[in-house]
Amino acid sequence: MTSMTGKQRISAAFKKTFSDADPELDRVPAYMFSGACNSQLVGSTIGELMQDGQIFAKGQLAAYERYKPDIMLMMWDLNVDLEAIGNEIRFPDDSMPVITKEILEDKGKLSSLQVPDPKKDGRLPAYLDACIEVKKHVTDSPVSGVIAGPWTIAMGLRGAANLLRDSIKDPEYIHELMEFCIQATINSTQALSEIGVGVGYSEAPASMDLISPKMYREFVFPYHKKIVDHFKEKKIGVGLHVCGNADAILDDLVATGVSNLSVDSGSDLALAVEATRGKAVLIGNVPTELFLAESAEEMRQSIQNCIHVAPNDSGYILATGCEVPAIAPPKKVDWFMDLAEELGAYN
Amino acid sequence: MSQEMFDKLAQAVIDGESEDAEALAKQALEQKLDPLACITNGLTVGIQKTGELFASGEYYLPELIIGADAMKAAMQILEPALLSGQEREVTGTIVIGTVEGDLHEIGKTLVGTMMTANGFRVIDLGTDIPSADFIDAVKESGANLVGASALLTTTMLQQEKLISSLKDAGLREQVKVMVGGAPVTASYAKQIGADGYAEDAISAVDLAMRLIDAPA
Repeated sequence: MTSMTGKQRISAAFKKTFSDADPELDRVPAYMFSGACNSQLVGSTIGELMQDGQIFAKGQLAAYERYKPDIMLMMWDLNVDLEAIGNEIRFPDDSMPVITKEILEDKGKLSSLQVPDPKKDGRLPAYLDACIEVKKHVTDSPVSGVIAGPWTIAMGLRGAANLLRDSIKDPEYIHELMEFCIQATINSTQALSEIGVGVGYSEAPASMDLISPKMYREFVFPYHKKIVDHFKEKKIGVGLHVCGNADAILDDLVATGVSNLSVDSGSDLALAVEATRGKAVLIGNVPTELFLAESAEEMRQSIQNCIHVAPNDSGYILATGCEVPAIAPPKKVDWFMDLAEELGAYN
Repeated sequence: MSQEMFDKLAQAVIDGESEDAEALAKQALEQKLDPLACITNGLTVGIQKTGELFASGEYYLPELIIGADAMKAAMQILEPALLSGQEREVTGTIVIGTVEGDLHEIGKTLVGTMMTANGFRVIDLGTDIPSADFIDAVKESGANLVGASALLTTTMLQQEKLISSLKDAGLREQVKVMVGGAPVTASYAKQIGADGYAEDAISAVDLAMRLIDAPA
């Protein structure tokens, strides 16, 4: 068959999950999470790209031209909401932004925090503008925003160690904090959907690398569900990405009602297939360290394995488990889409 | 009964009760118990048990963090009370820190706690530490181990830089270098010339023990 567009491939993946239809596909749908590494395509530093939404947009467009992913993910950094709320951030030239001050180091400040306005505060407006700009030029593939989920925001505001202490010493506080954080996530999601881009939220620290399944169910799940329900009423589906090993909560993640679930290489793809079948489009999970490997051999094996394990009867999108390392050379990012093309071809 | 006090101290660590641990440590000193024995037979036993519960999957990171907090709270009372000349037997000296550009703290700090509990002298430099500061600390302390943590794919490169800086400073033969952090793997550790990689704070202790027993 003739070559399909990204939009057609992604739409087919959703139909496979949510209907009895079995639309034809020319190859496995595929995309990677890339943002910071695109600074190399536009000759900027990572720090410049992270502070200037126009450079970011230029980088994403250059990446689209070069790699032709089936989804154009607008992966900036996950501190955008945190910064707009009040965290202090440093932007190194050659590395990812780092938090230098957590606004809720003193937990009492929670009552004085304002939910940010995506059209006004911090880098949020620049992010929205970048999404608008990219969507204008990328017409063959869906453009999707990615923002920090509420647990990521909570952890960023309070500090990881402190939030984990609170989980045992002051659980009520976490619930208060999460009520605040979902407002931030909801506002950002709303603003993104108004400009017509898809929305997924990233919950890097919601896996068992940091918390127990019991903690996920107590402190995170109810809030994930609230966000998903809020947008379901408006007929907007949202996606979810979790870093690390989420094997023990895969069913819970799906039960939030998200329309797509992206798992990291720490999670077992076969288990994720079972958890998502007929309920959510599965996305994953090529290890990102393979973008720094000497040769493409390991990436080839990993992609082959993903395709082998992926479901035939439910939607699946081949993707990186997490963000492509900022320092990955573009020629190694080429490997990914080239291999998807080669190994993922149907018939 | 001293054993009863040791058990209580251990339990306070296992339960992650900092205030209890601190109060018990003060009580122990009032009862003229040997502070070194309180550390060795109480706190250390507690944190090792906490580590075992983590390794077996019963405990997760939060329990490990509050257990380490409780241990630290009691140590702050007991350590100054150690008699002069009465020092803990030192297994080895390790300089640890999170590399430059990286502010992730939890894993690095837990490694420090577990190493302390296992008799190591730990010089914890903190986070966002340039190679030069590691080098200064190694020189000053005469450390035989260095532990460098990195949680970002961008900052992982600093671990490699640290190893070459140690070489340039003529210190590479003096120390064994351990690396860790979420994106770090055993093969990456090998590739950059580190002596070892550990996945978590518990296995970091085993690794350190192995490394310093190994012939230089």
